[in-house]
Amino acid sequence: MRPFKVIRPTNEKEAMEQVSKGNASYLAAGTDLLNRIKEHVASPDSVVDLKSLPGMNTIEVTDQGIWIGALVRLSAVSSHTDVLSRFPAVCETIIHAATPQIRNMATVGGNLCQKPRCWYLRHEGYSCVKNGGTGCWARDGENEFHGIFDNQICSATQPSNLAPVLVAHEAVIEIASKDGVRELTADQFFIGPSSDPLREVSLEEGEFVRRVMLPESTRAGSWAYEEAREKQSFDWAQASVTLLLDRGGRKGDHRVVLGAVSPAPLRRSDIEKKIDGSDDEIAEASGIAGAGATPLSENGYKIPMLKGLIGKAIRSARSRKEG
Amino acid sequence: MHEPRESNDKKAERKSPSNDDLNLVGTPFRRVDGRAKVTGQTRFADDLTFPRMVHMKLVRSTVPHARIVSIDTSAAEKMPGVLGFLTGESMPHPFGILPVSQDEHALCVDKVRFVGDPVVAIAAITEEQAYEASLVVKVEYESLETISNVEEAISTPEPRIHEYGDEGNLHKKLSMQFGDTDAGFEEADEIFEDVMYFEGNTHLPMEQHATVALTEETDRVTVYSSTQTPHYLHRSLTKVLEIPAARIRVIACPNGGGFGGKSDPFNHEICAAKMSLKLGRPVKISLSREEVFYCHRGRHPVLMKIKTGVKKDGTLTSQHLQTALDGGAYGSYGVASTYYTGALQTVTYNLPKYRFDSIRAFTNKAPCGPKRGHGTPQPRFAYEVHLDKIAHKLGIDPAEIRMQQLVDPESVTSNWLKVGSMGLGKCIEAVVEGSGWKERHGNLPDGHGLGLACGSYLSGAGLPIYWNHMPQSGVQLQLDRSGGVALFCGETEIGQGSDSVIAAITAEVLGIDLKDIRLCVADTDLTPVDLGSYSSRVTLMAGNAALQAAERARDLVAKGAAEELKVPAKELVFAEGRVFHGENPDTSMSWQDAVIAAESRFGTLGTTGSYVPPRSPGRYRGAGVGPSPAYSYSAAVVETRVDRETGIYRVEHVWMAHDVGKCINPAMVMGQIEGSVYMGLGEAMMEEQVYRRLPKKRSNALVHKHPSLLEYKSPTFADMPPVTSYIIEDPDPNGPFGAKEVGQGPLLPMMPAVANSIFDAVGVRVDQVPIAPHMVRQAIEAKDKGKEGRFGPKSFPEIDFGTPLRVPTPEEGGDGKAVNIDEAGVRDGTGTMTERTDAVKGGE
Amino acid sequence: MEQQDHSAMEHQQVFKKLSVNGEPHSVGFSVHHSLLEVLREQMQLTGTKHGCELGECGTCTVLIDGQPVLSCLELAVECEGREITTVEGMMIGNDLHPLQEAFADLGAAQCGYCTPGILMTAKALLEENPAPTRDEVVSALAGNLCRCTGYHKILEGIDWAAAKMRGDEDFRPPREAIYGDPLPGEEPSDA
Repeated sequence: MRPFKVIRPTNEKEAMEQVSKGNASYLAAGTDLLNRIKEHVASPDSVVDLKSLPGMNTIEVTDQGIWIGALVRLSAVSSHTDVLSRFPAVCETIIHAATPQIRNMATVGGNLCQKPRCWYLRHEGYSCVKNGGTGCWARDGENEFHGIFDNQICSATQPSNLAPVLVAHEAVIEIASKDGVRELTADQFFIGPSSDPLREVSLEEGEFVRRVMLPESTRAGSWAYEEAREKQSFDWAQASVTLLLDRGGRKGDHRVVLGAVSPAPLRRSDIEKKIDGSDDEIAEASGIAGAGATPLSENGYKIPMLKGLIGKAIRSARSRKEG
Repeated sequence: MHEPRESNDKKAERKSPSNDDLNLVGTPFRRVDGRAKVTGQTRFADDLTFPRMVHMKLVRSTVPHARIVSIDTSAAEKMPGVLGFLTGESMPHPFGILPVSQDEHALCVDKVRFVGDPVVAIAAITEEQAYEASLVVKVEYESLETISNVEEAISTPEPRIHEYGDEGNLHKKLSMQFGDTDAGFEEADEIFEDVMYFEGNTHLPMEQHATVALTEETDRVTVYSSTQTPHYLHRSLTKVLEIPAARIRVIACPNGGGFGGKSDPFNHEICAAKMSLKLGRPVKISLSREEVFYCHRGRHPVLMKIKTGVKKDGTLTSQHLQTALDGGAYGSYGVASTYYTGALQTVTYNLPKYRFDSIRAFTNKAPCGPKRGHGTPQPRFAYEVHLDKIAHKLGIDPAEIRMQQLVDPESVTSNWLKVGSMGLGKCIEAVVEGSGWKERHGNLPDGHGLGLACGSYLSGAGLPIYWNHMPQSGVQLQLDRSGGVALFCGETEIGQGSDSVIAAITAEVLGIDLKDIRLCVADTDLTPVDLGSYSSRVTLMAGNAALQAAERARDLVAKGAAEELKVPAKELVFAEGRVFHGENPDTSMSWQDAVIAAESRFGTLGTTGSYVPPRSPGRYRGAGVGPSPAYSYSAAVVETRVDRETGIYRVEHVWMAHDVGKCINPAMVMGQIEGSVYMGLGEAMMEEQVYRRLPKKRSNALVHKHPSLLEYKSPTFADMPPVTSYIIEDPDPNGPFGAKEVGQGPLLPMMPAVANSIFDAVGVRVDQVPIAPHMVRQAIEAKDKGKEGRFGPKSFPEIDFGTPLRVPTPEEGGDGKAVNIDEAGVRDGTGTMTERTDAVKGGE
Repeated sequence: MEQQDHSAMEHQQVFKKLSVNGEPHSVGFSVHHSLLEVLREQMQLTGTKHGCELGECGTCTVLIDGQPVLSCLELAVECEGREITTVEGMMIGNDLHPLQEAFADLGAAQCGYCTPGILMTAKALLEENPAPTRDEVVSALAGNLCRCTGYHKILEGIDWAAAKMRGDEDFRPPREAIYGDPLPGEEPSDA
């Protein structure tokens, strides 16, 4: 690995100061950053270890909801009794991510802020709209795993498994900033290239995620998480569907959020409206899966895939309700 | 060579014990390397360290085809810790695994031929320093036209990637005909034709290649390496380093998986040796995972056209197979691979008339070579799917159409391959029964199907890679008066259990505890030559050599013991660490005392054993590829569910039956069957070594599309279905205790069985591998629109193969020789591809 | 290609006490070195292997505070004060751990290269869940790749070891695991 220094701040102000000095990056578990350093697409001279900061590695259950520190490991979230009972879709999503070892290491914050997996972006020396250059190699090149929605500027997809379910739950993202703390909802946090192609999340220079809150008010009556991928572990989803029904006990308050098909998690309110308890709700809902899609040369398969996943998700959520 | 041992039924009948009883062979004993492997004590090449050891990295080409204009190491020389450099000029002698294609240089001299071709070697005190220095070496290239696939190789004879080859950028072109195939098509009731494609894939051993070289004298070097073929590496080192062979020592470390990917002599191995000689210090190089993908030597991508004539009742009358191999940038085993894509078509079902044409093209990609099955899985895929289509069209059950025309045991095929034992019928019966084939095939609901396919593989290639009259394997035993036995053999343990096989055979014959055998293997200074762990040769060949050495040792000890016990030597039985009179077991002594008795009478005790395969009856050019002392047979049924909408499919169960001749160790045999099923499944579903053409504005280079374990997909624990395995034992007279191979055979039926199961499930054909869901979906969509429900290649290129070499078949009264050597334009065709008068000298 | 000026970088070196297999080791290394590198090179504990060094194969799995993690992506400097377990720590004196015994006896280690990582993951699983279902074992091991075995002997080995660790000395792997299924017409005989 290219050498770097390790800095261990003891408070948030110090962390933000250190990361703004010279060529430095934040380090959480390192499962994404260290990978990118080894592949020569990241080259910080020093890393600022967030793990030495206090107050970010606990799970707190309140009446408002569940606060999850950004440094909490993914496996700790998915096995937490309260998260399991109140926000089971979050746990289901997590256990599909990566592998058990990586889930033992990776943090919530790191998961949300990881860089896309586009093989052009991750190959050294490629300049594109996402790293300060222009254009998108994948659009006219190889795009089997790239997005089918909102892919005109950049066709990479948001790789975080957690992103769609946080959008579905309207999770609150608490951010440490120069002026203290600020909050965004998940759909504000995850941004697409039309907002800023250089970023996937709405963090200013030096900011980092402190905690994530899953609001009690969006607990689902029933839910499903369905994804398709080439191998059953150690792989990224080719497409995923997160479905929450009757959130907060409000009949008809559904959320359908698609993953791995767009640069930010894609909420589909049109599909939500079709889930109305009628006999043909599955056909209707899945039938419009591809509405608005602009597939590229190699990823058109994601449309029938989404159709199938939506159908599967509705069936699964219905049987959960009955079960 | 040895009669199969009598079964345990016969043993039960006997009253007194005999040396024919089996006490160890056939039992699930613990592997001799088991404890070391589970404690992490096994020393793989990268685990070795030596005092003052330094580290080496290779600078590799970033362009696919170019002349090297200049190499500038000045910036790198200034980097901290850097100790030395090597460039191609210092090693001008070419090398290569096959005598007919010595086309590699340890470091490229004037040209690079693929992205990844090594150009400079750098040594530094730490690995990090070597790596950092490698980044600042400047190489200037003058790009040449890139040839990226077979079609381009055919249409672009110049610039030539190599200055040799049959024509232009075609490395090899061949055409052979056995019997009057046209007449055979005339007598057919129906003729079927298919074009199929098998994508390239790679071995993906968990252990990356690593080598440590060290010197003892200015002209003496030892090379420890993760190699399957220490003997062939030894020969290449001799040639390139220009040091006498006796001063070069190669020790193969236990391999962390090979599968054929570590059976070429490699640039990094030769460079490590050369650098060590230059610096006078131990030099280690360990390849990164990405480098392993570029090292490759994996399965050739092959396009195939298969045409078969059949009678109404399914009897085969004639077959014409054409294959086109994408060889990558160097020869490697490619000439053999080319012949292999046709050779074994005749050993499963009677094929009276057969024509085989093939080309291998050079392209500017990582060189292809041998991967598990070596050139036979591709045509076997084509054949087994093709036969499934034939069976379906004729309304014959796919299992039946095979059963009705199995090759007879102890027969010679139309292309002059001698088949010994042949247990395929029993294999088919087992999987048919186990899977409920008769009731379920063709009768399951939509989206659910069964597919059947078979295969066969060699138990060792009948000929060595370089022409010689010496044994293919040798074993030396040293009997110590402590009762221990040291076993010396050149074989290499790559995970397949070869150490355990030869130790067990020896322990069985001598009647001693497996733990009393001390192995010394894979060391060219100390052990008799074994050609290497490739082509599934070790159980049969090293096993037979061990059997011979052990029997000779037993005879010697028996003579000594006989004098002490005062009974005839031939009535002595060796078992349970004792030597006793078969009819009167109380007349006995311990093995150790018997050894002492023999050593007292005859002096220091040692024996050797060796193995030379029987000569095969083929006498035509190309007959050297295909023969084997014994063939294994496998049959598989695969059960699959397919989602019509997305084409996503899941294999839910595999039934695999394998005719292994005789299990030396059933648990180990099961491990090989399951491992082969796993690898076959990976190839069927997801593995592909494919390339991306970088855009012209970047460099136009051909780079590997997914040189990582994440992106090159291989099945995980979660992907592996349940496997029901059947071990069929049809002992072969040529195998030790009747044993044949199991490391490669069970892989072959998997890919076609998966394809056939998808047809049974949703009525569409995918005529290529790997089978991706979108291919299934597109075939379904085509069928729904009234078109052919098929996804696959459309055509085979028009190639002029000229006049085929005609070899009359045994049925026609032939003698194994070709009858039209001059007409076919073939060089004096009495030999094989390994025969060259100038190939006899070492290293060539 | 980017020219990275590494020569100018001075490595930040530290000297730490790492607890490995219950024993303290004082070890010096650069802060950017992974635990995998420090174990193998500074401490000569070569039982832990590298398969890709990118976190994509599970070969380098070790336990940190009893949890399976990838040592290629753990910075050694962050392991101070945590309990590291490697394959070298599995034996009990000169006897094999039940998992090691089962793997050796069933041939669940063929080339042996993925074995240390798999043993670590399996050990953590059985310590947390002494009677896992087959699905639970598969889920726990889904982050370890193997190219030789096809996984079945490993799963059967874990079942056997789990039984032994629960005190069930009579448990044996099913006969078919070792001898294959009985052929048509054959009576399944007792092992």
